[in-house]
Amino acid sequence: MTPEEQEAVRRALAATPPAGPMPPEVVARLEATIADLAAARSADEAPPEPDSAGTVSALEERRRRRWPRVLVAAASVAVLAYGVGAVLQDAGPQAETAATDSAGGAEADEGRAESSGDAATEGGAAPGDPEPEAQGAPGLLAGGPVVDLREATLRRDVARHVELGRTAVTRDGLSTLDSSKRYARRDGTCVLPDLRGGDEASAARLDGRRATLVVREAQGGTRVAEVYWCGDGRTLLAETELPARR
Amino acid sequence: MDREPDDRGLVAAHLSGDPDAFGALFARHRDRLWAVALRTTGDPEEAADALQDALVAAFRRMESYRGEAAVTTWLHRIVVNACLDRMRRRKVRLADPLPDDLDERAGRGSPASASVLDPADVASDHERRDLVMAALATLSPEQRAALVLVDMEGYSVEETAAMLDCAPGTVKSRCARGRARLAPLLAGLAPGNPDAAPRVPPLDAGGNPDGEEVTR
Repeated sequence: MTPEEQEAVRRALAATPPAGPMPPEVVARLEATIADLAAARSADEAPPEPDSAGTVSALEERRRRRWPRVLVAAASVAVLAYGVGAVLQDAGPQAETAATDSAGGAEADEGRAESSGDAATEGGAAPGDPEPEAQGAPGLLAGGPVVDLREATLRRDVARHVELGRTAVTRDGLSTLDSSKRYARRDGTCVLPDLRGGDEASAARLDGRRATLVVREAQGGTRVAEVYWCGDGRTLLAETELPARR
Repeated sequence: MDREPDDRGLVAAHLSGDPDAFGALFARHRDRLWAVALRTTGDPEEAADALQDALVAAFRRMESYRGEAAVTTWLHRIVVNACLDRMRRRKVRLADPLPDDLDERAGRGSPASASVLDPADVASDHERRDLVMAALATLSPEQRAALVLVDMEGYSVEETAAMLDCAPGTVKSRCARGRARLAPLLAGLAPGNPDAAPRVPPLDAGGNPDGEEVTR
């Protein structure tokens, strides 16, 4: 290619009409993200107090008590998985294809949530951020409701929320996850807590503080509802139990 | 009268806890960052997503800015990296290959051929922009980013090398190879001949047949 031809292309590119200003809806979205980051940073500087009214200690204690039940539930899942596997084997190639497609979907989601490249190296996801389990995990609706919760009336608030069926969100919402495992919500973004199949998550506020409500899959006739701090998706702010409904 | 802090002042303010400093820095540069993201990704939604990724990264890791380059260079670097990251992931996800007859179709629009558009077909800026974007979509993400920064946004080769974290020779090489590929697609779009443009087939930004030539 001659220098003249190079120059002609360069001029053609330079003469391309300008891209124009950033569209207002993008400005609004990014400003909301920045406001959210600033709020999260302020909150980071004043993280949840571990022993205010003994809350976190009490939660840890209850978590320890729950471990035997979780192990029983895990064993049940293993037995169930074995049974499903046997059924799939019996069903032949068609079922195998379906299973493969499903796995492919999970890979695609993981690819989306994956943080790679220099942008992440420059400071994308914080080390140790929870990895969302895409397979079978429910999503969050970006424009969906933000559930108002109060610690004093948590059980009743969550029960009402579950009663209304508002935790029945679609896994399509996982597309709102960015590389830092944050999900978009109408009042900003939050880090998504770890989810397992059958869990349901909702954007929430606990006593005005941005949080994520996770209603765990029913086990032994009860459902555990956990409220996680928005800033890291790991800090448990409150917890309660509900009877599982049929 | 208070003077507006410069970019480095805003970085310092952000690091010292000023909750408004990062927003002010973003507002100052957002339109240029948008242009780079839009032209690099070729898709407004992808550009917005990439910018959001970049903002989160920049906000959280501002302390990694060491002051060796201009703040705007550092911001551009993060934005371009976020764009390239998304484009590479999209490329992997895309199932549709590029048309087999890409070169043939591009050749149809070369000056040597009679197959040029009617002037009325490229009357609007919008259409010219679309033609350029479709042509850029035939390049690798790296070539595309280099050409967007150097030829379209007017950054120097050295600035672009800093933004892309590569040697200036690599930028020159990417630009030269990209221009060679674009030449038949953009023939006629050069100033002075605004109406005689070839029809560039709309393409996904999914593939690039060119290898990467690194020159240092």
